[in-house]
Amino acid sequence: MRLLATLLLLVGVSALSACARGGEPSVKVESARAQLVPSGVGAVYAQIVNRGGGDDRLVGASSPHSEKVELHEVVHEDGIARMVHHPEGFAIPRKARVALEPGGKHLMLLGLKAAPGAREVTLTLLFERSGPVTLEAPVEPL
Amino acid sequence: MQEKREARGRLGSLVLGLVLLAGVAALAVGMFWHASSFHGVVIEPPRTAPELPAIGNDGNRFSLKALRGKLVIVSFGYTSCPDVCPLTLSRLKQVKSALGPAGEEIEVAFVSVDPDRDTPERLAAYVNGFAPSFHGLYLDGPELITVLATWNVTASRRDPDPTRSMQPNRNRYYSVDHTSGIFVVDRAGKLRLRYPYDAEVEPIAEDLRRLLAEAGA
Repeated sequence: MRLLATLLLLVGVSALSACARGGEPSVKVESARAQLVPSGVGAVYAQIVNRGGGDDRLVGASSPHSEKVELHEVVHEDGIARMVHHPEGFAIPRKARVALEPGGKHLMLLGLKAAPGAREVTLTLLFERSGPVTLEAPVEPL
Repeated sequence: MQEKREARGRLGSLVLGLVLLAGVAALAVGMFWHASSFHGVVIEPPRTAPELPAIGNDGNRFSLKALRGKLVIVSFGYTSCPDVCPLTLSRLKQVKSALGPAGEEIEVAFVSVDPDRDTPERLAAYVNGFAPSFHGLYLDGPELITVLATWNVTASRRDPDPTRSMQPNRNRYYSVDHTSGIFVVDRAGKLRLRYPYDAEVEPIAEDLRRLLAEAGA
């Protein structure tokens, strides 16, 4: 009887927890593309789609083709472009599409190791709830 | 009879006056339309573009004055900029291409606002990645400060992650907040138009065709 009560309690707690997080996210990364510049940095753009019922968050990214990957956003104020670093990640709300695009949110590749003329870069995006997603982003010509 | 003739004369003067007034108004409207019908932001009054006494791709002094007779598009940025600067230079490459053979009359200058990491060689490699004809311009010290002031451009170094100040790579990975957008210098060396960095290609090309049709220096 005590075991049953404990089990019911556990199920209840996890259900409550799931409710608080709004169900399960279902994240997909679409249309990824990379832009590499000869100075050893690059940007990756993509559409991140969450068709699930729960929120998620992109908390980081890595690539074997660069020393580090950071989450950046360009903010324009009074004709000045300002780069903002987002170590806290990008929120990926449920039933939403978050665009990583030129002049806005993007992944910045620092210390590029990709060979000149590389056709694609491998990236792993780490989501708080959905876990890692690995993809190949084709390199676009400048 | 006399009264009738006088009345007709007054009417004639009135009509003539109205016609003249309409003509002057049309001319004024035409001039205003001409000045304001550019897609870019018109710089009024046009003033001589401040000189860019920089080191160019070939290691020699660059001179805006030496390019009189051509249109010069100037933008500011730095080679470690992965987003706005490549987007700007890509657009300018497309603009030149949209102009066809007339694109040969357009020079593109990219001025570095990051003298600590950029070098003339690094700038040359960067702009050549977009188009071999683009000029990568390097200045530092008081010359850079003067150019920023005379072009009314701002640039300030920012470490997006303050915790990096403890890291060994802190001097490699910083960004520079800077004035984005492009400036157009006409064939007479006057600063004429300004666009945001993400302006569409065809409207810029249309404006440049108009400027190319003007008399040169």
